[in-house]
Amino acid sequence: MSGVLMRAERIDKFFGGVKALIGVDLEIRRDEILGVIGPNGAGKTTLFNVLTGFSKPTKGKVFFDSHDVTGKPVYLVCHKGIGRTFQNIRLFGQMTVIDNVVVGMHNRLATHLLGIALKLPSTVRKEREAYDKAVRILEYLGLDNVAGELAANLPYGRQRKVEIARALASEPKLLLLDEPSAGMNPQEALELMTLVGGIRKMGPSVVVIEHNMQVVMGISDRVAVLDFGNKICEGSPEEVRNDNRVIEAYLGREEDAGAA
Amino acid sequence: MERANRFGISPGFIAVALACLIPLVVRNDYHLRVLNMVLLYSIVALSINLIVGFCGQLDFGRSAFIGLGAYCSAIFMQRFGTPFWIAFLTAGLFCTAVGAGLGVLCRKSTFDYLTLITIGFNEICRLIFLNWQDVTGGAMGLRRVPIPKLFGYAMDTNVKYFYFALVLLAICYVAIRRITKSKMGRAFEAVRDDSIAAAYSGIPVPTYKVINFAVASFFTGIAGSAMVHYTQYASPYNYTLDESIYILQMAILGGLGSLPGSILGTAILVIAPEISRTFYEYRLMFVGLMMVTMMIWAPNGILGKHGIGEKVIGLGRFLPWTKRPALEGGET
Repeated sequence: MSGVLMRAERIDKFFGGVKALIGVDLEIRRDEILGVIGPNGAGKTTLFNVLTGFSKPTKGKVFFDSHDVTGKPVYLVCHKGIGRTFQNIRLFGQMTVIDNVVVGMHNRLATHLLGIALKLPSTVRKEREAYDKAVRILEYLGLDNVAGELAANLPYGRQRKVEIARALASEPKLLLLDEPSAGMNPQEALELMTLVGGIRKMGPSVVVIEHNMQVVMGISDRVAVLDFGNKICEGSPEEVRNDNRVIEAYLGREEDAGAA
Repeated sequence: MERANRFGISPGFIAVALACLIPLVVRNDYHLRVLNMVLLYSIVALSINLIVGFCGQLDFGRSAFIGLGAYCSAIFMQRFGTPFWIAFLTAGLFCTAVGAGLGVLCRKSTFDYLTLITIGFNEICRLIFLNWQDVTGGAMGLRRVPIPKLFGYAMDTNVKYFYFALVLLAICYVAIRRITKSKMGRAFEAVRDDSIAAAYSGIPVPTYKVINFAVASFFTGIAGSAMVHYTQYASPYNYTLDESIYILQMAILGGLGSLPGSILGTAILVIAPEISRTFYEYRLMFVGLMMVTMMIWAPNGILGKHGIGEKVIGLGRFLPWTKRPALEGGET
């Protein structure tokens, strides 16, 4: 089916006795923003790790673009077209912002040792093109004025954007954002979401893990809800908002509430 | 890109031009000898910088690679009678192969274990040099290593060797700088700063650790070769863990991640023991103290990013990474 970009089939992921994911099925379609929500510890980040090959599922299969990528090394999965940001920001702190972005193009930049050593014109041109492209991405995200700063010296919100810029630099077909608005004030979160909406127009599908309900309901085409490793609901934001199991997961059952 | 000042001459070119004049001023053979050792050790310091400063792997085994390069080159010229340039390149390639092999073995080792493995490797090599009588000459070492000849031109004086070492250092410097400014160098730095994020940027982290080790070992190997033909003597007592720590300190003192820093650090640590015999005897103690002090107050060395140079002397203005790109608002 060409409409499906990534498919996870009956994923189990156990850490010893802890069942982080139990029989999770997930489909990510082309050109959509899929929100993944769930209470703390529901298995959202684990799901990202399994999808990208960072951890191998105990059971189940992951397909990306009709290739089986289950348990493949992270860099190979990323070569197929996945970009990711992290819940706790992971940047190359001692590199400049623009170098961070150019690292994101690693796989797109076909230079070789001989060309580098001899400074062949083709290598120089490719390098320059990469930096030009990085500047365009930074401009789009409003980071061009800090291009020469060390990434570690930027404030938190901007570091998040650098992460997104780096992920975009690989021209991914799928962008996984792990709590992009964590630690941001409502104003910043709103800006970020506008940005994510804009990114979708540039091509990639987006999966976003988010705790901020207003944000996630606002931008997602579909929402999947995880609770204790189970996918308890999937559908449009309206469906999810009115689903009893979701309300239970977040607010507890009525009798529980009474007992507590 | 070459950095050029307003006269259109790159600082590197000026440095080499000035260095060319040194033998006209320094006439003393002993002084030249020390300077030659500075040039040759600088290549080693640059290679160690590539591993420790750029790829973030702590390597305590560099002197083993100097030894491998030295013995390999000496044996090729002495036993097989090959011309110098073949022995020289063989030494480099041999070290590349050994470096790659070691890299493959520990490509998935974490930082601390890699450090331990390099210490072990250094000891293994030292014992091989010491005990493989037939090949390495055992404790006697290899004596009367031939003087190198390039294009029929024998480098039999300190001055001639100075120019040879200078050209060699310049070539290695340019090559290493180009590597660090390329896709490969950025991948090294990415692995250093965050290997998980590097993997998610499409970088095969273990492979790049191997490449890093192999490439750096090439430079260490040719430096080892150039050294042994200069001193004309290979002794197993030269390639010890102490020596590894000492050359590691050259890169750290100069500033990890700064190539000119490596040369400066080497100059300080090679020249200082020669000025004072007391320093020579206690050099490891001084280095130990220096290492502790620097780790606490100046982990970036003299010319590293935000290092002593930038902080104290205000050299920072002259360093490329402190230049901010022009802002649209008009401030520089």
